[in-house]
Amino acid sequence: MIQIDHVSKTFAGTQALADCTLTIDDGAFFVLIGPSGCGKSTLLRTINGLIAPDTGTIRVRGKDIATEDPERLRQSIGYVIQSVGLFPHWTVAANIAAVPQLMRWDKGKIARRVDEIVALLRIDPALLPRYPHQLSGGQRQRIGVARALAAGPDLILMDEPFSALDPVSRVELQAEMRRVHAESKTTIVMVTHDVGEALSLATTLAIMRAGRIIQIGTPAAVVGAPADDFVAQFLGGPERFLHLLDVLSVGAAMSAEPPSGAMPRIATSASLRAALSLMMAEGAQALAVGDGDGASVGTLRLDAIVAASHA
Amino acid sequence: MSALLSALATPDARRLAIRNPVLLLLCVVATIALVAAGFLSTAPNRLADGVSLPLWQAPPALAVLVAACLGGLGCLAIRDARMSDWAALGLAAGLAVALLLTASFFAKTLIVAGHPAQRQALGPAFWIAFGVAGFAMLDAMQRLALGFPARAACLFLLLGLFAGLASAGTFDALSLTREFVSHRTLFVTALLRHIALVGAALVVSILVCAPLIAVVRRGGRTRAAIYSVLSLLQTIPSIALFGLLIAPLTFLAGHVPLLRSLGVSGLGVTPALIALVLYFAFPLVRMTDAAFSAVPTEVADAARGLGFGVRKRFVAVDLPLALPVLLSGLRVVTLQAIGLATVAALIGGGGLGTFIFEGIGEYALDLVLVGAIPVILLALAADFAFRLVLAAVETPR
Repeated sequence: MIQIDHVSKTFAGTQALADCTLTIDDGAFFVLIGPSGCGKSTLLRTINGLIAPDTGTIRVRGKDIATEDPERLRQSIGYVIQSVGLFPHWTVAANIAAVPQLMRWDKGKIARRVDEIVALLRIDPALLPRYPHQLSGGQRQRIGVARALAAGPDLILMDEPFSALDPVSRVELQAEMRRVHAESKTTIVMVTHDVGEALSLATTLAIMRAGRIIQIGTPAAVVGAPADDFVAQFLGGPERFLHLLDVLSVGAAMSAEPPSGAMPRIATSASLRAALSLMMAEGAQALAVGDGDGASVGTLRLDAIVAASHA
Repeated sequence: MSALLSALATPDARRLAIRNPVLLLLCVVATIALVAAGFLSTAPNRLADGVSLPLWQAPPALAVLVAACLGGLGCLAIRDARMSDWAALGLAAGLAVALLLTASFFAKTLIVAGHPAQRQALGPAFWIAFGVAGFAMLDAMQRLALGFPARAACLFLLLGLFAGLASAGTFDALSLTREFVSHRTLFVTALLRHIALVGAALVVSILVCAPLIAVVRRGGRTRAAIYSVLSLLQTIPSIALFGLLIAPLTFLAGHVPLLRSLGVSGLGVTPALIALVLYFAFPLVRMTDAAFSAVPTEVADAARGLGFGVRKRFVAVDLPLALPVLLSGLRVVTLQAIGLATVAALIGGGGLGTFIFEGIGEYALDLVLVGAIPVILLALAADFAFRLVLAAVETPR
């Protein structure tokens, strides 16, 4: 989907991006993470041409974006920012319809699409005629995401989209994004400084520092084998493995061995954190793993959880 | 006495407490003026010094009416009554009408047959009391928290009443009316010229300032340079600026025949227009700059990131969001222009200022008023129009 090739950028003497090269696959949930000022937002904004690199090329869907019409390019890419930036003089419905309107879809198609998006993101239809100032922060960012998804882009860029939200709204919207990604196979590139958010959402992770990409890999690979001390420290030092409990599911760590009748039960889709918590609560060393219909499909042992991050 | 003072000082409702000190002060001022100053002055001709006549020499029925309205307002200021703000609004309007009627009929009683040059001019007591009536009405509207439509309705009601009385010849005996009538044709020309001057100055200023604004919005060193030049222009007194333009323009008109054939000269409309445009450059540029700076950066960023083109962003996002600030800026500049355009008369630019300067020259105060009152009314009308438009474009935030 995206090839970034030897991209560098300098702002007024300070190097924001230093020779960044990476590839983002179709359907990836790619998370750029690093301390503030590391250049992650700058890198994100080069992808839709909001920032032009000094050197290097960026290809989106195989085409060098420097040769493309920037407005067309941006209309084809969803864009969500931390401060949301809804148009204050437009209703929620008009905000969601902004990009289809720009692309001159006909009215009926726009109306149908707004209904679809409202259903997909579980937005209360009563909000549609309201204005942004009448919404809560969480509602606003939900509309911001809806606006980014409205024209059905195959790529969405998100710049710290949930950092300014209260914890409840944040967890809700993270779950929403995970679901939208799983259902639509849209490629998502997200910037965050929240390690937990990054590890729980990413299929691939890139860690940046001082304009450079230090390491790229799956959350488990990066946590298991950090490239250097900085990465290890940034991910949480010796405690970084605990993040994997959220990332890995029971299904990934269980064995096919049939459980004995007395074991507490847990679902295959549950996180290892939930499994570990259940073991601690029940004083058990092993759990019976059940599928959706209640049939037992295997056993999860404590040592399997410990071994899971090295699988 | 001390008991009365302490009663005034404590807000105890059961003792004597002043409900509306502003209104009370206004009433006291009007009373002092009506007792101590001349209500009307009468003179054998326009140039002679007049004899000052107090209110109590007016036809008694009318003088009593004025006193009753004023007394009623005073009572309303001190005591609380049901619907007192509505009553105050009515009484203040009543006071204004009573003052007009009293002055008119008082003037008619003073007319001496066979002396057509004789003048009856409105005295300071009339103007002070009339002003008090106006402020009392504003105060009542404020207290009632009347909305814009209700205020407009009050204004139109009074204007209609005034127009009716005027067309019935009620005010004919007053020298102000006489000056107006004898300058009627000149007045219409001057009024139209005034409006044209203000309109042209605004249009030209906007055209001249648009590129300046574009440069200023880009920021950098030129921005500071433009602002310092424009603010320097603001510091030149208006009369000096009008005067300063005479010499260079006369020189240009004398040496460039094309300019002369276009009507450029050291005196007249050209220097007036140039001076006005120079004056409006600073407020116009700064207010437009402020208006567009008020567009939230995250909204501009989102618009860009979603694929709005430069023009689309301007039309659909920046302009509508800047419009309320832009219009209130334009309102201030327009009101300023209506006032400043009077000075244009000094260098032959015409307009309502003609009467003002002619009146000052001839020591004819009524002629000054023939120029000054329409300027005030014009400013009020422009203000009204801008408020209407602003109310229409105000978007929910």
